[in-house]
Amino acid sequence: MTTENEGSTNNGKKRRSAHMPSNSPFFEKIVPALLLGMAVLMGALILFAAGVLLGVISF
Amino acid sequence: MFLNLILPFLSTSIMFVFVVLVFQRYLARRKLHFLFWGIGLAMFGAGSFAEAYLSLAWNPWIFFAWYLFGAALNAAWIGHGTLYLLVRKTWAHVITAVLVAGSLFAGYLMLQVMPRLDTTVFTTSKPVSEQYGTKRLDAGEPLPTDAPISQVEYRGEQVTVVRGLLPLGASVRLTTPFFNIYGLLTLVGGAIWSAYLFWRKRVLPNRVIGNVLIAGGALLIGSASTLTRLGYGQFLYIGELVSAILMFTGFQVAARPQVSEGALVPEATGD
Repeated sequence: MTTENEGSTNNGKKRRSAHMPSNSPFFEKIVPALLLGMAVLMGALILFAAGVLLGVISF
Repeated sequence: MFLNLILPFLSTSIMFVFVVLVFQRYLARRKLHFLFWGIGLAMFGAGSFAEAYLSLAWNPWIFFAWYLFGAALNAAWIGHGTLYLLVRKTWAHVITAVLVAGSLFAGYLMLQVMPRLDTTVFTTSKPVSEQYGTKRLDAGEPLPTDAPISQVEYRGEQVTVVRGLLPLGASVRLTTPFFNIYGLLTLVGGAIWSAYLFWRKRVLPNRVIGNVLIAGGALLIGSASTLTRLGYGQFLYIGELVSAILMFTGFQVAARPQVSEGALVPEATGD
């Protein structure tokens, strides 16, 4: 990632881009909600596929 | 018909660029995850190309490619690339053997069913995703007015079916849930897990966003495929296109950073 010698403007930009912005509602609220929601949806799709395999859902 | 042609064609074009980029990375770095991503994405592209072709004309081998690569295998192969980033190589190699054997077996089952395809039901006016499967109608279920209905003998009893290209109970259809469960766990689960690790460490926001986009794209096509299995195949092509855009964008965003290992689902450790 970034080196310890970060005095220049360019290095400063690198550091900012390598770390999440602090107090960002997007990263603090939306990203975790998206990750949780996607995990739940993934679980639901896996259950559906398992239901097809077990014959609970006809195909 | 226009949308049936143009949506898969757009998906194929995106996938072609995507596959070339991923294989270029594989040739440059010789990392196995790029190889499996490239193969899986090429399968995705083959599936969407087959959809575009089947909106113009019938060809049994194009249908073979559509079902085997587009419906059954691609998610598992893309996800398998992610597995190489998340587990020990020894384990990944063992699972590679299982995946290859399973894919060959699915191909064998598909070959077996080819002579039994009911091509009389094929029409270019509907997406192949709406006509590939034969669906058994339960007692009391209303008969669709615009679909080919037949009485067939199935497991010793007479049943009413809406005929599709694949016969009722085709064994190859039972293989798809295995591949799709594996693909969901590795591709979506891997992307969510990687995004979570970067998010928890508060580093590499582009990789967080990239992995969120990849997971979202994979979930979208997974959801569209599930709807297709439930009989709502009209969402598949648009789902594929948006999925291709999301995954490609996610790959580009995740691979943008200053570190050397850019990836579909980059290394779980941030440093």
